[in-house]
Amino acid sequence: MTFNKTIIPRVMASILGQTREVLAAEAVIAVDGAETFDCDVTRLHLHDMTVIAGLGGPISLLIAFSFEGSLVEALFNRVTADIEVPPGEEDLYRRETAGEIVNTILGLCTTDFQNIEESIALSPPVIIEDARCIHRPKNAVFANMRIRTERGIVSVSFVGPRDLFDDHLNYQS
Amino acid sequence: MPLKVIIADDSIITVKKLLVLMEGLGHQVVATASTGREAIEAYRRHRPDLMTMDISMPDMDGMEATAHIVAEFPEARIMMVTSHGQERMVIDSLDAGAKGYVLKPVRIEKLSDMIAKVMERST
Repeated sequence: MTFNKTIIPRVMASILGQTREVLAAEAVIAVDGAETFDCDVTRLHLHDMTVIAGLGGPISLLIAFSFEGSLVEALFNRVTADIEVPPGEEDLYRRETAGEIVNTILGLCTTDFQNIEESIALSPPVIIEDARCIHRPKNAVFANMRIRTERGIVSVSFVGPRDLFDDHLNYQS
Repeated sequence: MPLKVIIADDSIITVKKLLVLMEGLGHQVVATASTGREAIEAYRRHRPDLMTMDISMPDMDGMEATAHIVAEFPEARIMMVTSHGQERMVIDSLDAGAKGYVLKPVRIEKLSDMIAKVMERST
């Protein structure tokens, strides 16, 4: 399927809506607002913890959710409130919390694309913890959305076509 | 009646949350699996009354694992527990042999209702 960048604004709107729903339902965290930076973004800045997953089929995008530490901590405390976290495994559960929140948001986003006949595959989330900057190659499209919540910021980056990058956002020439 | 349950999901958080919910409903979780291949092996070993299955998992996805299990055990009761809400995905899961579909985030009432439907459908 050919990548079509005109789908990005629709995916952004869907992600913003589902992020609002999932953060409220899973962690009682309100989204205060969002700023979008459409397809003229030339580099992406990843924060301390970033969860990357791919939406396949006609969407063909890698989507990276980069969380501020304060938001990860708030999510971790809420999401793990009713389960046992073994001592010493808090960091693992922080990463798992972020991965599961992103997986839920992206999965629910597919409900906003019911008119697409083809199945939209969702790859298992990959978590990276090194802050870095990724420059846009000429043949790629980057877009970004900054979602502000009452507990911190999550920056959502859109990278396409998906097959130009591996699951860790390394460029595959 | 308490059911013997296997939970297949690659998220530790989801596995633990489902375990708490299943035990809260009086069921017994006999095994967990984090990949499609592990799910098939766990099913063969434990022959549960019910299996919950995620769709996106490493090595083999939940849809393929469901098709394998149902081909080998046609009476298998498999319920997808996933965040994939696309109608096409629901249809594909039912075609693969799943008997029910629960969307995350999972709440105890939603889970209990779907378990009752899955059990009813297979009697």
